[in-house]
Amino acid sequence: MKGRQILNIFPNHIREKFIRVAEKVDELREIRLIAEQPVRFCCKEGEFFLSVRGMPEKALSANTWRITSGELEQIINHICSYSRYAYEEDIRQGFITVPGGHRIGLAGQVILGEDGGVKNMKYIRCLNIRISHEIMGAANPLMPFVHNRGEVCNTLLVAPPGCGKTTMLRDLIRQISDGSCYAKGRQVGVVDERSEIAGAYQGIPGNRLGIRTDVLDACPKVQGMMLLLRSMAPEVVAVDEIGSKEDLQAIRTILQSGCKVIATMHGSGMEDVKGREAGDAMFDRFAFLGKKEGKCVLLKVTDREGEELYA
Amino acid sequence: MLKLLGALFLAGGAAGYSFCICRDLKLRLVMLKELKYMYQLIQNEIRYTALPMPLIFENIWEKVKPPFGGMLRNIGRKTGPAQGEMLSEIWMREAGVVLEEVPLTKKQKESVVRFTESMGMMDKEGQAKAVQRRIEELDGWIFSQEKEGRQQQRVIMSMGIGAGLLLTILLL
Repeated sequence: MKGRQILNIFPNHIREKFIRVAEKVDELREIRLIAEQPVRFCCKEGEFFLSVRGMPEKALSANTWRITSGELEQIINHICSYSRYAYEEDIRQGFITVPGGHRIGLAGQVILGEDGGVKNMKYIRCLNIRISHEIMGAANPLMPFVHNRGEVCNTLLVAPPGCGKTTMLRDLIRQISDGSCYAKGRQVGVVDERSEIAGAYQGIPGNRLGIRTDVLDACPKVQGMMLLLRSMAPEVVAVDEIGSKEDLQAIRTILQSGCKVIATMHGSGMEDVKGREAGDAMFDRFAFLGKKEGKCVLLKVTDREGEELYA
Repeated sequence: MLKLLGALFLAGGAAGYSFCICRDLKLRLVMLKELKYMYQLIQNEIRYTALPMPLIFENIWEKVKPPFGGMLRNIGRKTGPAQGEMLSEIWMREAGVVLEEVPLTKKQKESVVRFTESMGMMDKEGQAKAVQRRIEELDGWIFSQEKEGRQQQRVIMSMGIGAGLLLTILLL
């Protein structure tokens, strides 16, 4: 299923070359495509190159496939269903989400608007296809610490990029929504700004987020949290990658209304959290994720006072 | 008696042939108007829903009369994300099949077949303008067809009947 989703990113004549890559989908992390450069993909075993015949190679060789600008254009057009106007907003933000929640990062020449903001992007010559992994039970080690006497604690997941924050958040949402041995199921509202958590494509979530989860897809976090609060009466609000003052202000409003918040943030330690507008005062639990022997693991859980609950 | 019957068939055949040409001219006008309507629907969907092309086709195909409605439905179904074929290839193939049965001129058919060449690369407004250019092109054809069509039909019918009579006289 997921292998098929990866193959569907490419038009027919390019698709054939990715068949072997798609077979490794469970280990696959990302596929990197840069115009006139070797096609690379990263999985648990490390980095591989792709030959012109679609065979994975550990090192560069004369057979390594160097993707052309034309082929990249064809891939982008295919991803956009030959309708770039329909993906203007996504391109402006620098990524497109495809069925399954896989996120395709784009880099090219940015066109600035009159206000100085990014208006569009042309000559897109770099693609980073990040594979979304739904791992059932990924949040199991964290579950006991997220609950306190049957209540959900305000929790912040902190990790550098690529350490499984979103994967853990997704499973946490599912378990909180469905209910677990720690607490009964809660009404969860998810603001999925980048369509990564639910992996929604045309409004239909591709990932399991639980039976009591409302998803606000492709909505900016701040507006999304307020909108959910007003319209969907959530008990728990979940958001990915907070960081700005506005995000923290919106979370403060959510907390004042009596809802609980589960969020993720880029960082590697408590000092990164403390550096952000009293973010440390709003959460009850801080879960730090990282990599050990190439695997994404829960490194540490602390409470508001900094006491280690898990290490 | 046989001669008379043959003469009648000859005159009738010539008149019938010219009638068929006139009917095709009328049908051409209908088809051009239907194409214009189809392009207008596509343009509206681009402007107001900004949906991708395959979804637009699936949304509007029922509003467009055959054979173009069916063509849109087929293209919409064949251009989903699961299919790897390019939109321009599918459009060319499906339009080519449909246009075989439609009495449009070579130039008009070529314009329909090449419709998707200008699609997919632009922003919303640019894309809507590209469709507008197609609509204006069709407007020109519809205008000249309406203006000259009746005159043409009258000439064709008269020439057909005249040619039939002339052949009858010559053969008699």
